[in-house]
Amino acid sequence: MWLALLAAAPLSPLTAQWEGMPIVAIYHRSADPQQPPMDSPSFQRLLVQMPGEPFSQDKIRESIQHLFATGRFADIQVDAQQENSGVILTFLTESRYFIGSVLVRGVPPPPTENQLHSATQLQLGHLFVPEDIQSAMDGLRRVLEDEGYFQTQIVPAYQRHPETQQVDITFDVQVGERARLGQVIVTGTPAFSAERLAQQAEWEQGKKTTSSLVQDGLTRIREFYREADFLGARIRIVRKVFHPETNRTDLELDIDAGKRVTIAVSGAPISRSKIEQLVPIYEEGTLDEDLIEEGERNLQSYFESEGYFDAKVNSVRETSGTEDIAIDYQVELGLRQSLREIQILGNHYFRTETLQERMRIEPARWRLPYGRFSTGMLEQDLAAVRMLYQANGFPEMEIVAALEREHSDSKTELMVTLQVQEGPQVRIGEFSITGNESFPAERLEGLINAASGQPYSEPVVASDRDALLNFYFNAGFPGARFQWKATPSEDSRRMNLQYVIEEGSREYVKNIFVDGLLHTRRGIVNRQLQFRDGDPLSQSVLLDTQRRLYDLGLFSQVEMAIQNSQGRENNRNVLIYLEEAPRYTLRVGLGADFGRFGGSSGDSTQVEGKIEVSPNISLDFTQINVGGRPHTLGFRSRISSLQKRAALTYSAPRFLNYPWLNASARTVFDETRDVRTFTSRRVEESLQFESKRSRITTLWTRYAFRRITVDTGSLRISPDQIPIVSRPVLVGMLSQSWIRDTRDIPTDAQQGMFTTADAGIASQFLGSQTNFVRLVLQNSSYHRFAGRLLLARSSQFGMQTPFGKSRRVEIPGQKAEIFTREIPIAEHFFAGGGNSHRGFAVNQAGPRDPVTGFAVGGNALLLNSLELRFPLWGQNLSGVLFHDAGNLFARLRDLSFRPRQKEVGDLRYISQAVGFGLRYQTPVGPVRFDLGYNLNPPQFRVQTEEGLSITQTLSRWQVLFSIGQSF
Amino acid sequence: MDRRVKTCFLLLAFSLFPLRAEIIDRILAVVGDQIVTWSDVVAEANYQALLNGQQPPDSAELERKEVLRPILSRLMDQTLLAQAQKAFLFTPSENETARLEEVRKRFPNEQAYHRALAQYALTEAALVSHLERETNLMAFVDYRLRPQVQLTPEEIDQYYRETLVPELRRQGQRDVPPLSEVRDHIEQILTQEKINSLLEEWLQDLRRRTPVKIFE
Repeated sequence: MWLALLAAAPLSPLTAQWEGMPIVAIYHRSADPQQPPMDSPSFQRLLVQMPGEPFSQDKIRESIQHLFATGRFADIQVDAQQENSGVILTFLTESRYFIGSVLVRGVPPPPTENQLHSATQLQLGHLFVPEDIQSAMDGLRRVLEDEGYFQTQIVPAYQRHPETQQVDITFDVQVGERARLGQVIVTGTPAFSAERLAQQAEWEQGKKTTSSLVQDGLTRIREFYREADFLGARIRIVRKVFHPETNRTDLELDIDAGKRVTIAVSGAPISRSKIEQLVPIYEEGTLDEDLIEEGERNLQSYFESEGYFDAKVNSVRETSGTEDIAIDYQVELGLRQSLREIQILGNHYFRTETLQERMRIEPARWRLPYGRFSTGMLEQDLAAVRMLYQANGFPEMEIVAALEREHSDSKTELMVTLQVQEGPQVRIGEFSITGNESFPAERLEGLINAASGQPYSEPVVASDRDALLNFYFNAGFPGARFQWKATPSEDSRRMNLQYVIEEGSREYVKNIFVDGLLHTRRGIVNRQLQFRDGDPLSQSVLLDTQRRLYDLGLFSQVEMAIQNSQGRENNRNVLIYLEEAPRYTLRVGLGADFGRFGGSSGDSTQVEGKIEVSPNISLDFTQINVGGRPHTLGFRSRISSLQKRAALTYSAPRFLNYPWLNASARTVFDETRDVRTFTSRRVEESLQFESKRSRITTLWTRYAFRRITVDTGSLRISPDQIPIVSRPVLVGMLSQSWIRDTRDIPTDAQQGMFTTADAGIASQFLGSQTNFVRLVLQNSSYHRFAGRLLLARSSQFGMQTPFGKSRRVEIPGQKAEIFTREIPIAEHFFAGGGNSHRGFAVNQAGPRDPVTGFAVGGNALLLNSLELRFPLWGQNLSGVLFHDAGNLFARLRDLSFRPRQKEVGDLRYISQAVGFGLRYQTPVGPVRFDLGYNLNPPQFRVQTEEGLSITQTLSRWQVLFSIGQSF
Repeated sequence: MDRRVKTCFLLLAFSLFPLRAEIIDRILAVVGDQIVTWSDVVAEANYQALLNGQQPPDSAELERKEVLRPILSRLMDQTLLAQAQKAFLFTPSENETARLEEVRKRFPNEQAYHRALAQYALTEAALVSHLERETNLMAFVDYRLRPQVQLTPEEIDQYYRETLVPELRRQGQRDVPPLSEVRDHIEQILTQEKINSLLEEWLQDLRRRTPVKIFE
């Protein structure tokens, strides 16, 4: 490099002669010709020696120091050249490089890409030091050996980018064959044979030696020792010995079983699992006095919480002849008591309810028959109340607790009285903020709690400190400092307070470098950036940008860093490295539907159908990042005995670059018989726009055009209706849905409300053969009470009515025409089943064909559901008591609140069902089982094939399975 | 010759033999996040020569490795200690004024003093800066290492018997003072020796832990 050549040249002896000569010009040159010099203003800001000034060796030295301090240069030289009666200086620099992308290629999982990247310890934006590559390779080797690769070859390669001073590093790895497990060698005092331990660990010879195999095996061994009462066993892997000739790895373990420890609790009944939970020796895997004492305290607290408020626990340790250890926790329970009342006296500044919210002790109530009390809990509650007062300016506050017991024949009751002495409140006298040069005091005062007249306390100052430093940090002042001074004023109840801020220098965004894009358009990324060149450097803005980039759904990793973070410069380059997610996904699924789908479709005695399990298979294909945009193309298909469905969807979130507007287009083919009355075939195209202006409110606008055909052979209705109902119908509908969702968790809400209003119109002007309007309203709300109980309710109302001209229906094989305004049967509302009325099987509520008795749906819907949800066992199993009421009606004018039928066949009444359900929490949501009992199932007449009219009643009992809450 | 023709010849000569750019300063070493430049080395060499009453070195002499390396090494050690001092929050007392007076007194008068400064390419401010740095570092080293020095009576006795007495006799001194009279003096010597040894270990440790790069 030419700088090195220059370095060999002797330094000039002329500097002393140049002292005082005027500097004509100062230039900057980079060693790499591809790298442009610094821009003049930035360069000038760093110099101490300026053009026009006299030559000064000291100033030149200082200028070198300033340039080096930026962290951007590995080497700096200055040359001087006399020009006329002055001197031209040139600063020659060799740039430093910073780490860009780090790729490790050629390694199949395990390990994961993240593990490999972490093993290199090469971080985005950090200084690139070639010597670190060897450490990186050593790290990779360690991770690869953990996963059984002992014969790896790693070849690093670098690609430098002079314009950004970034270097991309690639490690090409040839892993060879993964080693397999050889022998397990155990040294030390294991108490069990190596064969036994290997069997316990499931370490069979020939298995692939991955880290999960080894770690899972160690866990099993530890559990094995624990169950054998070797609670202090020490187990470690000493080394792995690789044999290249056989590609086997021997594991060498060193085990010290220690002494057998048995732990018992005498004097009180307690389960083994509870003992293991309360005595920390089990979890810590070691035995010492501190842990034994902690076990005493935990057991005492436990018995106190069970109502034995005076319980005492004492541990006795015995060593038997074989040096095994027995620890006996001897319990004296004392009387079982209940906490009747908690009285708080002397509090004026805070209301009693405010103090009680911070306390854990509770008086007895139906959910806690003994209340909740222990001496430990009481101490913690006193400390919490004390802290509350002190944080509000009461430094001399005192609180003491007095306990009173009342004994009667059957029980002992405890009363706790807390006496509060608040003492004087100290408030802030004079308050000021100094040192704030960039922001006015008013702006900063809006961020903090302290102000003249407000309560004074150190927690308030600490909170204000955090708020101010956080504000400055996010405004581009990473070196801001905060100090405070409190001086008593003449009034002993006042403290003068001063906040002193040292802002430090402000940092700005210089350039934004984005790397890693293969398919994604750069504009998509740019639109998510919340900062521009020249903006103050703000950590919160960077985090917000990172979140937005993740929200696009295009990237599996979004890494952001500041280039050269250790250098001292005010203008920083921001690095964004993006790893695109796999574009194509193929999913194959198997499932089953359970319900009343089965039975012969022609059997009028089984209009509800028999309970049947219908297996299904689904195939989904998805492509994201379509055209370099955050668009998705998806194909979903599902085949079962109930349904054949295929849908092609194109989704375009952030449509036309509006972040609140999502668009989608869909084509669906669907053939379904989930209504036993008919099998329908539907081909539909739709276009939908979703507008989400706020977090809780969404507006959907949708145009759908569909052709619905009902299979004539499957229709189970009056013969005279078949010619009409079986004709295919074109429906073109424009609809809007308004949704307001304040639920905390949509899949399993604990509080909040969910309201929807859906209105649609099908009209000939929209291409529809049938004209009708539709309106559906729904409101659900969730209310917590008494701890873990939840009352959930949902009400639903729907109606649709035809309007305008009738549509003409040609009867095949006849010359007759029929004009009808009837809404096609496939467009009817259907209700019944796990997600609507649990007194009916799926889609079995409402009007029925007067001849066949099969459900035909309706044009008016009214439903109300009430659920009481409560925990049953642990965190995962809960129960539900429910009441569903409502029905479907043929027309809006048929809607009735009658609690029972007027006569057989009159289905205009409110059907009610009660029931019980179980919910089991899974990662995908709660799995639901409901058992419903219809209190007033419908009675109706059907005609048999022989022409007889018989009365049928739908089943009272319904068994329903599904996933997710019912509403 | 016509002046214009002379000017053309001169310009032609200059274009054929352009004035050479000279490297006037560069980085010689990086110690942590600090640098040591060639001008630092020159200034240090001149400063040491002034204190030692030697001739100021010229550039060619300083370029020789055997001359450059010790000065560079000393500056690097000073930089390491200065960085350690920052981390330790040590505030030294200001004794450089006294040292400056010591230096002045070596010269018969003010003019001689200022002539000497010019000869060694030093300003008084630069001299004071050097003295201040040295004084601070010496005070910091003493502060850090002196408490670690523990002398035993055996060590003092051994030095008296095996080093001091033989040296005095070698110098022809007949009356060797008793141990009690020279104990304080021996303690000072041994303490200083131990501090030097500890300093050497400390500097080696600092060099191991701090990223150091020397530009050859």
